[in-house]
Amino acid sequence: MPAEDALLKVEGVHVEFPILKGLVFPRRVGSISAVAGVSIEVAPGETLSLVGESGCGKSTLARAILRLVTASAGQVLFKGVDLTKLSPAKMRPFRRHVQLVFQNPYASLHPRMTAREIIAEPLRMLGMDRREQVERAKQAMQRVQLRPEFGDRYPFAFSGGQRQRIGIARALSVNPEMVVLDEPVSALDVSVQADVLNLLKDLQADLGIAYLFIAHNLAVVRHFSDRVAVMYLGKIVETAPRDRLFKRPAHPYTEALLSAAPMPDPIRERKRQRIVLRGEIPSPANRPTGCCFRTRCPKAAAICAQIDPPPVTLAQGHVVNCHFANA
Amino acid sequence: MKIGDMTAIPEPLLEVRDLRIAIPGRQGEHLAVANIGFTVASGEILGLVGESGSGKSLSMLAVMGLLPAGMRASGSIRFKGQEILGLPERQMRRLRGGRIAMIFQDPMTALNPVLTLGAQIVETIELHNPSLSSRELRNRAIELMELVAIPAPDKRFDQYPHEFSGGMRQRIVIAIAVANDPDLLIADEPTTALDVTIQAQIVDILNRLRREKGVAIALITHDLGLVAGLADRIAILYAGRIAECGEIGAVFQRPRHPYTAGLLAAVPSIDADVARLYAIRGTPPSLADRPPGCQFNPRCPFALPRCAEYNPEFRRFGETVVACHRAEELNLASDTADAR
Repeated sequence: MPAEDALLKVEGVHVEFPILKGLVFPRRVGSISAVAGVSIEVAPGETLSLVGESGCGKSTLARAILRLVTASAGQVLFKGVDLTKLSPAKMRPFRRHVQLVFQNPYASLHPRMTAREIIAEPLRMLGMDRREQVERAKQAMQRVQLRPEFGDRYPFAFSGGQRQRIGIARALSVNPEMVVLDEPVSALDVSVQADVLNLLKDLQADLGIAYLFIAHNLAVVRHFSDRVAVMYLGKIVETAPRDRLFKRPAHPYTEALLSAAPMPDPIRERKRQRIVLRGEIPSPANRPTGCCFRTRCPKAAAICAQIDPPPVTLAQGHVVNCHFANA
Repeated sequence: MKIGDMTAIPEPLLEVRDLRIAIPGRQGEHLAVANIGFTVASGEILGLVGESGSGKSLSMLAVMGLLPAGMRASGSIRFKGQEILGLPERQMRRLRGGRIAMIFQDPMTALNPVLTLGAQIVETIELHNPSLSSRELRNRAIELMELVAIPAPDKRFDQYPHEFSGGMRQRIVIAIAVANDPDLLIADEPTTALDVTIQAQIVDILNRLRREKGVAIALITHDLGLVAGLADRIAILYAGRIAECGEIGAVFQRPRHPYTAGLLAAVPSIDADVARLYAIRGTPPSLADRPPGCQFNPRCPFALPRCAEYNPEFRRFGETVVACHRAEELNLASDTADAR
């Protein structure tokens, strides 16, 4: 994908959190690099999924893109404008273009605001007049198949799936060009997940929104994405078009993830060979030298401890960071 | 016909029959569990699958005698032939953590943060074996830590929960649960709070416990993939009742209940493409607002008038037992695809 076409272009972003010691006079004794040099691109209308386990930095990266945390280095270019350099006041107009849907619809809606107030809040922040707020909130509710007459109800009166629709309607109320979906269905029951995923796909088809979809469920990712980026310990280890990644994973971590994802099919589930990784994700405060995955990698060799593998392009859009990648 | 009559095994390890659990509400009691029955044989893994509010966790809390105060259970729960529902607390305590043990969902809150992990394992062993010396207790605890594959257990013995990651804590929770060689292990969403690669490690450990120690496991989960990999039989719960119960392969290959078929079709697959996921319309009924007749009828694409009138009896089809009025006429694999 040529760079000119990218809606969002993230280049070499680092996010570091300080480790402080001392209660009265805290001093910095070290730092955790939650995101350690990530570059990704999202084209208009496409879905890029960020996959990885907890602590890999996928949510932190999303928050850095939205400037909810500050990137310590790198650029976040939205339509060519570097968001990391903007003052908070200059940032505000961009917020309407990039919206966020949170994971937990039980925690992300204010319990004492009505559904309509929640959905209209971004409009209020933009300084829109009240009548137009109500009208736009009504449209947003219809778009997510919530009955507008429920607008006066409070979040407790809605089921989990309906609450997530309210969260989606809130994000859509300002007509964004991109929505960051942070695990939007993982808190929902299976029968409700399908409904919300279908809705998100329909909205994308109708409105041409780009999604940055953060998830850990690989089956959902496969269903939902155009391209997939796999993250481990603050780095992207492999990026590929969806079909290519699932058919020919090149990084040992991607392979292990795919082999560990449970399949709802008893016959195949029992037959297949799982790659069970040893150990656990190292602490981002104490990153391994060289390749970040080498401490758990079945293929690790001497070179992996010395040199951080550079990105290698295997095919159109398929980039992997591994010394021993599957061809 | 009762679902408990269905198993061919002469005396199951655990037999739950006609279990009802009532929760007091402002307008009288609500039946959170309306009628649940199942069996678990020795060394068997039974998967109990259902969405939140289906009654799967409450049923197993009733087996452990740990229902929250105010809830009332009736029916029958027999463990090794002995009725344990309503057993006095003193006797229940002897079973609990001894013959029947439980693994909880969240390893972050299941452990005591101010006790070392070793002390927490030792506590459980000592409670049921008061005569052991402290050296014996420590050795036994270290053996258990080895069983659940904790590296350097004698060093880890003196560490606190905060020094352990989620996956390691869940192993300690499992070590505590199997400390007294239980016959039955109740695992409530044992991998939900964990990452995929760590889940695979825990699944390995559960499989090994069954193989090497012959532990029977009642696995409560909403993850159809986890059940597919571990369980011998599966019971699908919906709104406080069993919808379908049977041998795992039979249920997955030929679901007989529209809810089972819907669940299977609603999950995206890691190696197949569908343009659109099958979505079960509506949401599960709330506790105060359960429909008459079959609990699934308001959401069922195949519902007939009689489905809203009376509750279907269980019927047997080969390896499975189903509560659906239309079980013999529907061919759900293709009918669900049509309803998509």
